[in-house]
Amino acid sequence: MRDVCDVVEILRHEFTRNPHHGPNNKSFLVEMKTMIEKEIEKDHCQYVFVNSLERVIGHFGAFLTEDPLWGRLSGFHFMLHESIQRTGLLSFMFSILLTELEDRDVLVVVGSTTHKAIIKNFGKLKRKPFIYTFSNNEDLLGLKEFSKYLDL
Amino acid sequence: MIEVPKDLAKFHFKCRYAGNPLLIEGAFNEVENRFLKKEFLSLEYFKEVYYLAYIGKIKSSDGSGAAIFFDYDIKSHEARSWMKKKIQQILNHEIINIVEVYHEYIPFIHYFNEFGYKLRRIQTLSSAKVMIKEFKKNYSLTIFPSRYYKG
Repeated sequence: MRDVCDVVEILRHEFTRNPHHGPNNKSFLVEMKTMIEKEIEKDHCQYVFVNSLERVIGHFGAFLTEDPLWGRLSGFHFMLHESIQRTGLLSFMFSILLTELEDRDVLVVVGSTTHKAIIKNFGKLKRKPFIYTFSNNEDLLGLKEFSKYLDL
Repeated sequence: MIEVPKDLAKFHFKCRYAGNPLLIEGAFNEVENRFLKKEFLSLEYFKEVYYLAYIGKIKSSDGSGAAIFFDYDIKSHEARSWMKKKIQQILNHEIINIVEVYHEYIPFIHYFNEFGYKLRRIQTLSSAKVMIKEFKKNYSLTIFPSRYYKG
C-alpha cells in the first residue's frame, strides 16, 4: 500500500511540473491510485515498482485484455521520478514489457501520450497515430510544440 | 434520448476502422453495438445517397462537458464544407471540453488548433509483432536482459 502511495506522489509531482502530462487534481490522483491497486491484484498483471533503498522512485507495467475489436490487446504505463529520468532506464523497461508481449501472444498495443520523448520515438517503433484529442484546457500545449516530431 | 440511425454505424465503421489490418474479423458487430449504445446529446448528419458526414456531441469521459465526435468522407467537398460549418457553429456558441479527431483527417486537426484547442493526447495503435521487431532493430539487443531475451 505504501508503494502505491509513493507512486501517486510521483504522479502528483510530475503532473505539477508538467501539467500537459496529466491533471494533478485530487480526484484524478485518487482515481489513479484505485486503478493501480486494482491492477496489481490481477493475475496477469505485469507491474513493477522501482525502489531505491527508502522509497519507490518509479513504476512500470502493462495491461492485457481480450478486446472484441482488436483481439488480445495491451498497453504500457511508466512513470519515473525526476531524479532517475534520462538515465536510459526506459529502454530497459520497454524491453522487459515487449518480451512479455511476445510470450503472451499479444496482437495489438495501444497507448496515448503527450510526452515529447515518446512521440519522438513513435516512428522508430512504427507506432501509428490513430486519434488526436484536443481540449480547451489552457494548461496543455499547442500543436506547434509537437510539430517537429509529428508529420502534420 | 436521441435515436441513432442503425445504418449510420456502418458509415462510422467505414470511416474509422475499415482497411485497418489490425482489426479482427467480426469487429463490425462490436462497433455497431458500441455506436448504438452511445448517448448522444445531439446528432446531425449529411447524407446524399449515402452518408457523407456526421457530427454528434457525446458526454465526455471526464464528465466535464461535451465532446464532438465526427467522421466524414474526405473525398466529398460538400461534406467537408458542411462539417466545417457545423463545427464552427458549435464552437462559437458552446463550451466544448474535448474534441476527438481521427488521424486521417489532418485538415481538421489544424482547424481545431486554429480555434485555440490544445493537444490533450495522441492515441497510437501498433502491431505488437512490428513493435518488437523495430525495437530489436533500433536498440541494442543487449538491452534485453538475458533471462528475458529469447533471441
